[in-house]
Amino acid sequence: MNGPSLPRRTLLKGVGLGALAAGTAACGSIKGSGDKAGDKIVIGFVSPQTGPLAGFASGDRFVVDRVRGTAAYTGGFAVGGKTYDVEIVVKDTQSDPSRASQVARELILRDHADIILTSSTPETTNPVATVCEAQGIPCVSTVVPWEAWYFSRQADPKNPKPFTYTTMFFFGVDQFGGCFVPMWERVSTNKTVAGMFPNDADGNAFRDAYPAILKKSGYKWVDGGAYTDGTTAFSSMISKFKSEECEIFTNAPLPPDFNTMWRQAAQQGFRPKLATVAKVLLFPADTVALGPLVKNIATDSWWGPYMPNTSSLDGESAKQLAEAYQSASGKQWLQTLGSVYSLFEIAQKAFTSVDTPRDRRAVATALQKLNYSGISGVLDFTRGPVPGVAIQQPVGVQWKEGDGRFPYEMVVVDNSLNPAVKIGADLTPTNP
Amino acid sequence: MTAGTGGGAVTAGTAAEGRFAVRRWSRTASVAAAGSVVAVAALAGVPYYAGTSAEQPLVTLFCLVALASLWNLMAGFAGLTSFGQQAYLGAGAYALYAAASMGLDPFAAIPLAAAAAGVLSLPVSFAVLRLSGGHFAVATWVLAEILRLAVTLAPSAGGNTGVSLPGVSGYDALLRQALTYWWALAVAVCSVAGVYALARSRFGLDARAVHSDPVAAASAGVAVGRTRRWAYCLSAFGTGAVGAVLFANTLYTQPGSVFGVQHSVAMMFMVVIGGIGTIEGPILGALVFFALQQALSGYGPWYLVLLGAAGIAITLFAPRGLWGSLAAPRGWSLFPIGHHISGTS
Amino acid sequence: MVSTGPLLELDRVTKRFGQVTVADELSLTVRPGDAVGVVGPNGAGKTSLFGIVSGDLRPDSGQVRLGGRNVTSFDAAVRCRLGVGRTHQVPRPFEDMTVFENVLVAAQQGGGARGREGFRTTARVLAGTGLSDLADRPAGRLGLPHRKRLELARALATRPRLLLLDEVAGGLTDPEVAELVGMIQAARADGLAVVWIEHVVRALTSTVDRLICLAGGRVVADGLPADVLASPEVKEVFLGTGSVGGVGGVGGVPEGGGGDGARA
Ligand SMILES: Nc1ncnc2c1ncn2[C@@H]1O[C@H](COP(=O)(O)OP(=O)(O)OP(=O)(O)O)[C@@H](O)[C@H]1O
Ligand SMILES: [Mg+2]
Repeated sequence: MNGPSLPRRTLLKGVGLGALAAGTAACGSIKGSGDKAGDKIVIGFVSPQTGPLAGFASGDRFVVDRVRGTAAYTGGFAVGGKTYDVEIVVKDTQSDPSRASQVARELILRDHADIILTSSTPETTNPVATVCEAQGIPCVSTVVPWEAWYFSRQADPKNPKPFTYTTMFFFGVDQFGGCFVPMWERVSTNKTVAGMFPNDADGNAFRDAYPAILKKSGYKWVDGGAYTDGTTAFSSMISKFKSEECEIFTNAPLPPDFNTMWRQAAQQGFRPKLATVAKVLLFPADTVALGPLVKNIATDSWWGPYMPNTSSLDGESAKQLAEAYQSASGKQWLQTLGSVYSLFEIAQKAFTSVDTPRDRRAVATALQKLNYSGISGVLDFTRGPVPGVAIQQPVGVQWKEGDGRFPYEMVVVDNSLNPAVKIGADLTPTNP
Repeated sequence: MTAGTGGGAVTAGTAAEGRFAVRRWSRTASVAAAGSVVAVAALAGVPYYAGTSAEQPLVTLFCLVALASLWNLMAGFAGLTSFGQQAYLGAGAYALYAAASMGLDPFAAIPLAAAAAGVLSLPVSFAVLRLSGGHFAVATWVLAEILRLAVTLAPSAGGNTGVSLPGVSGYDALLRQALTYWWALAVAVCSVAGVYALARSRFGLDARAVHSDPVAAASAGVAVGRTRRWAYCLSAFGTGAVGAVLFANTLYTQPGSVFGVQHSVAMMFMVVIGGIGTIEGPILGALVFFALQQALSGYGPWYLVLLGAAGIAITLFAPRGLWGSLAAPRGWSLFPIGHHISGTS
Repeated sequence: MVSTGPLLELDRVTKRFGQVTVADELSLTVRPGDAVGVVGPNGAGKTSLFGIVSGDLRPDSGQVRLGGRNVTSFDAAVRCRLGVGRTHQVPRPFEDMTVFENVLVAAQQGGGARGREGFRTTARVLAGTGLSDLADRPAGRLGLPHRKRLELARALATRPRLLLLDEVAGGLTDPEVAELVGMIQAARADGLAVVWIEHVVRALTSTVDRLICLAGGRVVADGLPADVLASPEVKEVFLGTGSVGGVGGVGGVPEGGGGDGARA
């Protein structure tokens, strides 16, 4: 040891090394997950197949198998003069956002996915899209209100920045209004609307947006109050609706909460002339719990056998897809069949329009520029409210007694937003 | 605090009073310490020679090791069986969210997030440490639930839907993952080394006394409340760091999962399986838990049942945990914390 | 250490557990270097008295002063550091720790001995209490006589000015008692004051120069051991309870009838 200079020099060297490691040099020498060999395109698909959100995804396996069977997929994608085999890897989030993020990372790092498709609720799509955006992997989401998908992933929601790798198609609060208000117009009421909105992300988004939509159309707004998800006593809310003489009812609750509330409303004599619900009664399975009380409740529908759309993969119609599902599973068709199917249409469109599937930036750009017509109708990603978002136009439907095969089924009663869809029946007041 | 007692034996007392050689170290311990240094150095290089597919599982493992060690600091040493450490996991994650939303670099803000969790734990400790045993466990759990609700209801915290980590889009994906990996490694190493240093210190002896018999500890001059508070708050601090690292890794957090009691169950599982009140036990427990997780995750919902069965089997056949049952009868100790006496009058 | 005033003062201390009054307006003074014996029937409030002095029990009213300082609101650890060392009637070893570590905690925290100083104090105390050979043994594996010695060792390691001994001789054989008395007398040589609860009166009278008889949370008699044992009040108390042998024998008070709950 020769004096105090040595430790200092050693220290400086240590600091220098540390800076080197953390700095630019690190970027260059850090290893990735390894390059993929072979002529294969891997498509990851993430949805909540088990857990509380499983109702959304009950048709997903069927759709994936159906897509795998199409000629476009069995024959592989022709990209830049080369044909690539296509592998679809399916992952279940178990309805847990943390797991959603984890499986997305697994798809990227272990399965070397070239694109990730994801469906059903912000709890699923947002973590997946977040991981994809950070990792630079193209991603398409659906069955999530676009506002919840777009703004809640922003560092500063008041100053949003478009995403590069993540895109989506569905609709938002405007379409809910555009779907519901025309139905209200067709029932003669005192124009007083009862709103049941919980204190959660969706509930608060609706609470913020509705008053403006209502005012524009000349309706009076009665807020039942921001209750906590899982509440079991709705008496005070119901009596408020009664004393304000609300004749229209709308909401965006969790399904079990709506079941509880709607039963209590029936017992306590709150019988609005028209109920237009959001977020609940989207699927046939949801109608079982309420039984006859679901009759003539109206909601929105973004997909169904009544849609005059055909697959961009093999020309199959919406009706054929729904019927194939019903005969394969013995269960009633559901709206997510079409949405999930379209994810795979979009993947095929994007890959076949680039030079190489490994150029993620190019695939992402192709997604942003996509404008095509498939089983969900026309999806135009270039003209959404924000870049990378394609808007669907839902129709108004009512749950009506079925023709014997299933107890209740969705029937189109309003096509104001999407006139191409045929009306199936007249709008009937929920409570005459 | 262990100055002069770390290496070799220390002779205490004169011939007339009885001669003791107090041993706190051993050859095995030296080998273990050297091995640990080599292992940590090797692990630090993983981003350079193994790549991201190795990093990801290791981040999970490191976080488990840290969580188990930190829970052991409380439960194994100070006798505080908390069921609410997820409160600090969530506090760390949401503090990181707040810091990153304000424009701080998320990786630089990890220590801040840990500090936030530590600061939060201080007032909380005054409330929960009045209780003991089952009451304490339930109170900590309730507290975590309250925090979860508060976050759910807080405006701009994303509600039940959760939030994405802002400020990472500027990073190259590989560098971001490597930084996350190094942070996870650092938090694990600091947790284990910190708990080890504490366990060997005067504080560690106090904590063990408080755990064994708080009344007798007070009679021996140990500040029971202060000892427990330190254990609780330090554990919360470290757990907050883990919460922040996990968030940086998943890039997404949601109150329902980050504040879930399953985290406490996992911590308890690892510590009990591995061997409570030792340094080696929680590390071994974390390895076993991680291995079971990897091996059983393919079984879907059966995963939890199988995990539970494995836990029951191990507690039945090795009631002191794997390390306790393996090492204690043979006198093994890689990371000794006690005082061994040789030589007598 | 050298103080002229009283070391311990209890000033009209009252403590009740529901209907049971364990201290009833109790006042008591102990001077530095005193050796005070405490006798009384089971449930008289002797152990509770120690709890009030050591800080394990909060009195309902009254004051506890240590070296003239009001310590009523101080907890046990603080009072220990101020010089109160106590043993527990039912030994409370730190079972998972070795005998050495048990004493080391007390030496470090209660006695304020740091580093090697703590080791030295521990070694000395262990030697003084005859536990040196057991230093490396987990305290949970000790038998009752050694547990009692460990209680004494831990209390001594805190370097007390006031040593509270709660039936340390109970359940011991005669030679063991004699050894123990030797240890206590050796400790007294350092000038500390001892208050000693014991049913084994022979052991007490060989050491103490003052005897207090407690009953129903009150001081029934206080004075020279012989006088106290001979006083009609004390005889009355022991006759009255009948729970512990009769009055008579050497000291006039029962032998070894203590409510010693520890059975190792
Ligand atoms: N924590 C407590 N809660 C309720 N009652 C108590 C408590 N501690 C002591 N007692 C009661 O107070 C009375 C005095 O108890 P204490 O232990 O002081 O008696 P003692 O004189 O030490 O008796 P012994 O000779 O049996 O040791 C007893 O009736 C006992 O049951
Ligand atoms: Mg007693």
